[in-house]
Amino acid sequence: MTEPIIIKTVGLKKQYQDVTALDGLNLSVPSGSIYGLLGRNGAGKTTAMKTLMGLVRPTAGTAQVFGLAADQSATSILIRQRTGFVSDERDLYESMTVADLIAFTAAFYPRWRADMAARYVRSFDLPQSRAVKALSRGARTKLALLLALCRGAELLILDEATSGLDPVAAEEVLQALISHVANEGTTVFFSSHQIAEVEQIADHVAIIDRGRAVLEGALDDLREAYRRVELVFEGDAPATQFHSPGVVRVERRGRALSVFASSGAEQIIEEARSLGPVSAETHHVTLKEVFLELISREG
Amino acid sequence: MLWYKAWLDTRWRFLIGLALIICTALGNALTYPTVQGILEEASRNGSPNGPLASEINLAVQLSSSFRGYVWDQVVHHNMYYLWTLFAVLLAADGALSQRTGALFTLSLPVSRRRLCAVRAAADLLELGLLALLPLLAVTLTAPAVGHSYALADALIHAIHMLIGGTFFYCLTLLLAAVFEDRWRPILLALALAIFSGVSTEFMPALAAFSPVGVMTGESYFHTGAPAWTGLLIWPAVAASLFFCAVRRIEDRDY
Repeated sequence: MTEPIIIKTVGLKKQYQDVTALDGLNLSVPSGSIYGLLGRNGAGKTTAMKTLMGLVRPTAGTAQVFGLAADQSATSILIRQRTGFVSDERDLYESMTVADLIAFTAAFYPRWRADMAARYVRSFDLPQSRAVKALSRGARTKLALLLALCRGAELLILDEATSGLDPVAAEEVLQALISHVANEGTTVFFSSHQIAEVEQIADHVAIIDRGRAVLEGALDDLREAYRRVELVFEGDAPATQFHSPGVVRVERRGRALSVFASSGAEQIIEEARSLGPVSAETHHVTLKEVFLELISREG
Repeated sequence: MLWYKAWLDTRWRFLIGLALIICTALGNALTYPTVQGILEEASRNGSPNGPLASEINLAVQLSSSFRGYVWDQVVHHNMYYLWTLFAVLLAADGALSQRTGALFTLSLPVSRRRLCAVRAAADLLELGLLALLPLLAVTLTAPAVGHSYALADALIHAIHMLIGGTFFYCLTLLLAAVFEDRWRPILLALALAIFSGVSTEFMPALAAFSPVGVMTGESYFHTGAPAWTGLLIWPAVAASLFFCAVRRIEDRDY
């Protein structure tokens, strides 16, 4: 049985004068997943998230959240009722205190979890009477996360949630997120350029480059499918092309030939036998390797 | 809660504006006996000549009564410029304040139209107080200089100021929705306000075609009849500008 899709974008495009931010982005985020959106700076992650929240109007294509059109004013309000959003700018209201901002936000959400807010205020050690403008970057991020988590949202959209945080604060934020998802079953769609962070918490991942998804799927499936085949020859490795499906990149280094494949490692080894290698080994690859291979190929 | 946010965003501009306009109005009103003496002395020394003669003669003529003096000095001159300045400053952030927290505001389950409407309503409420409270202060303190200023005059002039002045407020909102920076809307709106004020000073006939005539309540002061045409036309123009500003904000990317 397939999981229902919470976020779906089809051919999503956004053009800012002469800059193409999104160039036919296709994504499907399953319900209940922790979905990491990986990409370099400027790849289109923030624009994609803003489009889903109705902050940016797409130039072409469709974006749906909960089956509702994200670019229509009326349905966008319905989406925002059920979604918590943390922007990468953490631009909260500077002149309010922490307690004021919590009370302000609570007023817009009938399903606001006051008990949860009180718990996060304590565990994040947020000073309630302090003005937001006087908070550290870490405390601002924790407050922004609290405001997103406690609204009883079914979906969290987090744009670079841990950027600029020290490792301890980043870990605190990630642990809070993991425990919230475990308890509440919320779907999380988050962007990051920290591959380790995505590997730590995501179960689905997409790699986005120049406004297009170059890879999308369940992290376990990707780990299972992607392989590096290392072939060693007696003399210099032959300059050859592989015809097996799934070959992403072939690299020659002296006697060694390295084949990076998205699938079909066994078939590649079979094809390589005709070249007479002295050894042929298949290695698992990390998400970082997949990311670098795909991004450098696109580049 | 959006009202509370609007108040937090604007309170310092409002309070500074209120203090400044009240001080200026009271400064004018309480120095009436001194100014009246100077003007009487000047008129006893013969009629002035030169390009400003008609202005001086008009000031002398208006200052013969406390009501005329308050209208000329407080409403027609100081309040028009100061009130407009603060109307422009309040609107310069745009209907959706973009300085801080815009993304947070837009992530709330509220339409942009409602955000704009609440912010504009809060601003106009403050501008109403900026128009009314200084004139009420004059009404309350006039007995201190041996005169009186009618509550009805204070109320009607405040209404004229607010209704006519919505044009400058909404114009600035539209400019703020069009331009990315804060300064161009402020400078353009103030330039128009100053040009309108100065041009009607020297060509009073133009007052009928500008919001200045409505804001200063010239018709009411001279004839006792409110400037009905202007009171209908300028709010309609302002509403159109506001509608355009909202449409622009609704279509805008953040």
